[in-house]
Amino acid sequence: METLDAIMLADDSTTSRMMLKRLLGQRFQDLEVMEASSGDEALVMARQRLPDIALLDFNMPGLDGFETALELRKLNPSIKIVLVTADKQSATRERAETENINYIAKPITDTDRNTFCDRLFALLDGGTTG
Amino acid sequence: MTGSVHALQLDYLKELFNLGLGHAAEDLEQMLSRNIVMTIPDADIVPNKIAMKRMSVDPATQLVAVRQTLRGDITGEAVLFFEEQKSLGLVRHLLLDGEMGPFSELDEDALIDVTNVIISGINYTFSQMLNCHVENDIPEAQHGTFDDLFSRWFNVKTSEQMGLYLSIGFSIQGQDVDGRIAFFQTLSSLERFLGRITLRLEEDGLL
Repeated sequence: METLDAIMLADDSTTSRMMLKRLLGQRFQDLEVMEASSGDEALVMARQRLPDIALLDFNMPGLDGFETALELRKLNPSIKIVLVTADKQSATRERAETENINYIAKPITDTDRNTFCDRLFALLDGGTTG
Repeated sequence: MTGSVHALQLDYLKELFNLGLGHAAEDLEQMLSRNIVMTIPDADIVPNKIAMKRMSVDPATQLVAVRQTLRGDITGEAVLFFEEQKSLGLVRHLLLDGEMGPFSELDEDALIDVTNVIISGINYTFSQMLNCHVENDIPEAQHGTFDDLFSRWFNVKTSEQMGLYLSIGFSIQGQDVDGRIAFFQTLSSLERFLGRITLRLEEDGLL
């Protein structure tokens, strides 16, 4: 999983995307980061260039994170998807698990930042959600 | 002032509000055994009368507004609006009481508890993310139509004054209950708040 060409960040918060992009950029200098401010925009971009991984916010204008994940999987059934969301309710975590979507709770705090990429790839390599 | 407010600062404010309600929703989910559905936050610096209009609340509907003053490093007014009749469903669910009689003092107390959970979740997030201290006053419930409440809170002069408006809606799955949280802040308080946000964004390397 450590070889990676393109990753999609879909979040309506510019600062959240900037933060995630910065964290990923510290680990992968040549990684193409595709930024979308909504689920609908993410799908338009994915039709042009399929990402290996998508980090999706849940609460976005238009398609939410789950709906976007469903559509992205139609384009690329092997895409790895992580919901990165402020919604920490058990119903949301359980839905992510049922739909085979990895889950990371926001905020990514100061202490989480150093380990964010490790946690992300541990999840994508088959770790538990968290 | 409006022109000098960086778009990133407002974006970060919206995200903080979203994180705060997310935190509160986790507690509310446990309290109510129901999933809380949140809307997309809205943030702007506008005259108070425009801010109130942005909430799209039917001006004729009878509302319960639970208002709480924030003090400390961040000051302002947080208000939760509920439609009075619909809020009874939430309250009766909390109180495990199936009777849907007229709105009572007990109902009001239950709504104040819900408000406390929500505002405390938002304050907790503000204080954690911005490394500051925020205290809440005791919440106070007021009843009336949207126009009644507006005229009680703002006079002709203050309704024209610019301030920060932050708002997010929420609903409770499986129940016909929705509410809206709004946070109002005067420009003088806002400068200090934005200063903290700027510092945070600088620390994160985003500014």
